Amino acid sequence: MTVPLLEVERLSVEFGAADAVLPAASDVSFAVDAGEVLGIVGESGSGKSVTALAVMGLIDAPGRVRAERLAFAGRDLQAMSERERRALLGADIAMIFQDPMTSLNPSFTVAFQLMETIALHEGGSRKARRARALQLLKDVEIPDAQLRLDAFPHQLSGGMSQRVMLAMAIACNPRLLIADEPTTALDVTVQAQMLALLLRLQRERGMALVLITHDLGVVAEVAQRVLVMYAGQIVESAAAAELFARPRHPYTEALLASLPERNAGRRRLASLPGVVPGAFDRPAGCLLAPRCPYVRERCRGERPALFEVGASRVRCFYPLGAEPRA
Amino acid sequence: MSAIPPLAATRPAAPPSQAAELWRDFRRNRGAVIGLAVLAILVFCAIFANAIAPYSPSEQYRDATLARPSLTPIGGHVFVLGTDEVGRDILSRLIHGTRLSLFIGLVSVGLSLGGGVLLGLVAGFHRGRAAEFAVMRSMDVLLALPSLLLAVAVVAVLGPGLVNAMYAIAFVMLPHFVRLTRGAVLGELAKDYVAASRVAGASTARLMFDTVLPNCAAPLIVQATLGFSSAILDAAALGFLGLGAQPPTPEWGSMLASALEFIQSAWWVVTLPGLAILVTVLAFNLTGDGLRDALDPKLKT
Repeated sequence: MTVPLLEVERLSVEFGAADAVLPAASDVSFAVDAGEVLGIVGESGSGKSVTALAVMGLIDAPGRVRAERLAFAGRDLQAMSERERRALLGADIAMIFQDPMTSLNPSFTVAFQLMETIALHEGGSRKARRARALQLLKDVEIPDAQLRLDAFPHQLSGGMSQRVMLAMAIACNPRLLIADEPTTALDVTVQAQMLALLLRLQRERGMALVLITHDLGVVAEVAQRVLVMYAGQIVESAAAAELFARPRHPYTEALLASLPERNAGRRRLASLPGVVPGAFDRPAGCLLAPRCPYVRERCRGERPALFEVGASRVRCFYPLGAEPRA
Repeated sequence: MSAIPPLAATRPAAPPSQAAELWRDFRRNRGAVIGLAVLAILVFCAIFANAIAPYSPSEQYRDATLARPSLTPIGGHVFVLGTDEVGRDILSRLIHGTRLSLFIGLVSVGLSLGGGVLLGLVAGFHRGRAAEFAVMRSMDVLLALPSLLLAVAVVAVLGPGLVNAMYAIAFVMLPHFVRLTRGAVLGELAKDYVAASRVAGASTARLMFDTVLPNCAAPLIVQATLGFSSAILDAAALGFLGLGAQPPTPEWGSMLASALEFIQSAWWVVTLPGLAILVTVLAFNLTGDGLRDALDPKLKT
């Protein structure tokens, strides 16, 4: 069996002082294979972004990151020096962010920022780099690419900034692209274009793509595998088709039930009452227990581990449509 | 058929460059333009002091001590702004004083800005760690002392003189630049482009100087311009106390100090250097205000 591109085992990220620890992510384990599209979904505060940032080494003190294994292409990221890790990540992993308006440096033109990235990875003369920058802008389908080269970020629309960001991300031919809610800040028509573009680039270049989103519709369209996160934990991990056909975790079921498509003809959208627990109101048992429609006595006292259910993994004592777990 | 303009023609013209835009916004503020004009004259005076000044600043015309400002020649010389107690031409001394004052402003603001930006970057990038604590608390200590008193204390340690006065002034202004830089850095660090830069493998030094610092420039430029005026004021104050420029250097503050005893009998000896200080400081403040308005995106329409 080949080594997965990215391996994460028992990753945890904690913030806050010793007496008020907020586990932003705990016991997170997953792997991404080369060329695969992995979706990570969950509502706000579920630990999706923190997980991605921890993998990239972007969690600063006072945040604490621990993991049993954190490896890229078989190389242990935790054993590396800061410098080695930077070199490796910069060359092989790229990341795009949620807010396109702040993800470009406002002081420099698009061409300058693109050419800087190109210089770092390919080098070449000024002219060659400029030509390459132009080509990249065309690759991400920016209209009037020639005109946009010398634009400053504040002269671009949100969609265009996001495309430039994507151009910068693919400039170094990464093997893994982490997209942290790449479409959230865009309007709906642009969202669809952006997703289609992401997928096209992913296929053409054979990159692995980790797509972090709270939009299940997006995940259904693109991902092969899906992780559902809740309050910093993975609650369900399954193939996309399986997840949508047979959700095993009550939380996944609730998320799916709240999709507008599944509420046609009803007056109100189905919803899951309550919010993700914060630092001071984490329940003693299952983290979903206060909101779960199927909650039982055991759920309130004990935290479930991830159990294998068919081909999926589910963090629930009473997975839907399966035998209860011991 | 009516002519429909081709698509290319309807496209708006390329947006103005940053410099052009800045100048357009700056020009709207009349006070700032006047300030800038005065500054231009002052800089001109400073650079060409030797050519413009009618006489040497230290030449003493003993037959014309404390001459009133007038166009009537005294002993073959015309003293437009009068002479001081030893017969030196006040106009010439003021013109040469411009050079000193601008030089003091430039050096002390330069030192203070350089040091302040470095310390501010370090503090901002090491948020919550010992380095930030050390830097920011020592700046708090400096801010807790009255600025002139602190400058006097520094000069007392280093010894009086123009150069030491400049060090003292730079030291006194340091906390303002540190705090300003740190604040701007913290604001920028929260933005995604910094994270993107880190993902791309940028080192801390690169993040500091190439990624973040250019975006903190606007408030620093404004503070530096305003710092110029306080540096000139402080230098004049130190000169007045005899701790800055030493006689016979034609520094405005020390001119004031040596003319103090004639305040009743010869108004021009005291008033004119004071006016020079006033005009210069006012010009810097007006320019700084105008720059702030032009650089602050929140005030733009």
